[in-house]
Amino acid sequence: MKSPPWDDDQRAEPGREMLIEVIGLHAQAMLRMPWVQSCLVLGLGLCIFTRVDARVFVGWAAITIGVEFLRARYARHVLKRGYDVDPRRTHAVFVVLAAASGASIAVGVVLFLPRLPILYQALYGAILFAIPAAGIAVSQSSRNILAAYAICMLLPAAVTWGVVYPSQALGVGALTVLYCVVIILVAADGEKLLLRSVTIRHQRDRLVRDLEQRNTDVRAAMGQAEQSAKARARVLAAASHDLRQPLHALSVYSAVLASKPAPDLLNEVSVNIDQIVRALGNLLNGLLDLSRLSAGNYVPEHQQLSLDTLIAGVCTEYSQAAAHKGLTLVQDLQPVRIMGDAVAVGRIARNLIDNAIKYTDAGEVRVLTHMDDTHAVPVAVLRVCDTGKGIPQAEQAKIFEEFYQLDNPGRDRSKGVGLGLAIVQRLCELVDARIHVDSTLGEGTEFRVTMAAVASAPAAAPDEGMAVSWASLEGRRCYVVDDERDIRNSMRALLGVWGVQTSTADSVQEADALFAQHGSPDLLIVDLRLAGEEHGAHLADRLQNRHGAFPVLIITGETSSDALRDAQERGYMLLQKPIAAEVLRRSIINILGAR
Amino acid sequence: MKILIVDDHALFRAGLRMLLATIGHNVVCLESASITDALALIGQHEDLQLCLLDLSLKNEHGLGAIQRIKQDAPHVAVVVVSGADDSATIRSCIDAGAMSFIPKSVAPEVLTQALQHVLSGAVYMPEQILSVMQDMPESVKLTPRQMQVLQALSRGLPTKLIARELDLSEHTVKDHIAMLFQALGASNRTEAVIKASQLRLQESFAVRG
Repeated sequence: MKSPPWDDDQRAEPGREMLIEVIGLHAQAMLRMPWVQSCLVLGLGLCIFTRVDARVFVGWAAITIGVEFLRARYARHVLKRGYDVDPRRTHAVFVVLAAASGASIAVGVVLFLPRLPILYQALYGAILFAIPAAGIAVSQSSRNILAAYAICMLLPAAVTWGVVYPSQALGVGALTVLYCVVIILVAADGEKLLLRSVTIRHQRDRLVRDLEQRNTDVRAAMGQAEQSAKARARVLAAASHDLRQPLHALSVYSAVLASKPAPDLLNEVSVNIDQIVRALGNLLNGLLDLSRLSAGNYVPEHQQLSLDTLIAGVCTEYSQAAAHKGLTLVQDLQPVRIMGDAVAVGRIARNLIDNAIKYTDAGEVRVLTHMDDTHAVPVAVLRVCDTGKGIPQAEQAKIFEEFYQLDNPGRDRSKGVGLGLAIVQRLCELVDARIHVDSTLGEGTEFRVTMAAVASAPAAAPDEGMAVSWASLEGRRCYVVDDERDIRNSMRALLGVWGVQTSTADSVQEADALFAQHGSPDLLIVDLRLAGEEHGAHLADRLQNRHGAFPVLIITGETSSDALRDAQERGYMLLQKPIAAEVLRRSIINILGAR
Repeated sequence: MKILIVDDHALFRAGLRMLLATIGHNVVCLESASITDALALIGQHEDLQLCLLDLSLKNEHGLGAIQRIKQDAPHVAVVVVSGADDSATIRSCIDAGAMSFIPKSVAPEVLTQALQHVLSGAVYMPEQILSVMQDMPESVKLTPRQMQVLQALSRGLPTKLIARELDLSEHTVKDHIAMLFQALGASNRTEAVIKASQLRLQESFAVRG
């Protein structure tokens, strides 16, 4: 368990805390001392006033009561400052004051004892020796205070007695020392007791604090879980609405087609169906992307790349869409190199530019890349600014939620599916980028993505990405193992278009036969889940063991399972169905080019 | 026949318009994405007979819309076409004055059939609401007059307008309604409308003239 932050500071604290405790209690007792002392002096005066010089007695009384007033005054000062005081220093002052108080009484002994008759001397002595016993209580068991007080009082008194009665000097001296030692030991015991109780109190306080902290932690965790459950439910509800809406529309068009419409309607029907299917496809892909990103199955690459080149490519994709809406797509791309994942960063830029164009009716969309040198480490900045209607302050936190769309409570899906920014946020988390939105209503919106930059640009390295995308696959040999005939056929057709010689197998046995007959391929594409609980990655392992190493690409319809991680941990590249042709091509080129 | 389609999904509206144009004769479709627009269109087109209404519209729920349409233009028959298909929703729509309920989730051929029913002036109800209703009394025999009253009742017309349309006194219409309920084994308008869907009323909207 993690200890609360204050724990370390206070581990050695019981000693200090006890000192503060002692000081507090002692100061409390000190407040009463002037009156106690006055009574003591009055009583003593009644006993011996007639036998001593009145002026000397009054003078001594003034001094000794004055010392007590001094102590009380200091005590009041200490109490007022409370825990602010330096306990060690304060304690030292109290020790000195106790010594002064003891000494002031001793002065009386030195002055008066020799002049008193024997009976008064005995009485005086008894009173003197009783005072330090009461001092144990007053000192609150601080043996230092008590020792200073008792020794400063009794030692001069014993010496005086010894001077007056030399024959008793040894005995009185020994008894005085013994007495001092005993009361100091008693005080020390009291001190230990106090220390223990303070320690116990300290532990109890810490326990309570720990419990409170843990309660807070648990509450926070519960709140978080609740929130994520709510978010999931919201996503599910929104997704089911958004998936059903186009399906309902498709059903209507199906009815139209079944009832033999006029030929001039057919064109509109096909255009509309196409729109619906596109929207549905976008939605499904968005959901799959989100699910893949959330399940932690996407492992971002960490390679040096040129941000400005990447963004320039993305801008080219959108120049037509911008022109179509009458917007100017302005590029201000300063050379910046980053460490990151080209696919993820490209997707972030795509979604942001797509949104900017979608929500801007007039003006321009400005895309910038530059370095930010105001930080200790070099930071790369990607900014997408538009002159659209802007996002109200209150909504700015919500725009990253799934299915949230500005001004689209009716969820008209021709305006997009509302997953773009949610995906952007997940991607930013994945590649350690930060995203910040700044918007003024009616003026426009700026999205600012910051990520770690590479300090110095190395001498113009050829862009590997560009080189590979033009690489040819002509004449490569590929085996496709999948238990679904449709997939096998479409793969063969697609790969055939790229000039790849493809052989297919629907089972482990057929795959074995292929290898036996034609040897290893340039690439094996295998479905993760084959018929009969067969695992694609395991099959690839076995085939490699039997026929030597060859590149493997695993395809799957699963989005979150241990099987996925399993495949990735073996170092096999993984593609998620539905697979766009372009993605498949790029992946194959990556795999084959890497060899 | 003039029909208003109210749905905030433009592509769905377009599909519905094409389907109606294909299966109906001389169908003229108006479209709107919101209740406000719909009410404005209803005000402009006196000869509007039918309104196909979605329940989940921008910022408003269609249930209130049924009442507002029936208030502004009682002669317009409201048919709810909704993504919802639970019997509670269906009932509350009929309670509010709707004539039929077509779930969007039905199969294409059922959708075509349902719209044909509605175009012919008959009541359409989805299967699930019929299954929870008590069975119809065996062989219901309605007089032509009772059929006319039931048809008008299904369209959500108040007694006064039924009387005007059929050129009868309100008192006579009330008598007809009472007889009708007894014959159908219904205790209120909603039940009568649901049962009317089983009678497959073939009366045309043209009754109104």
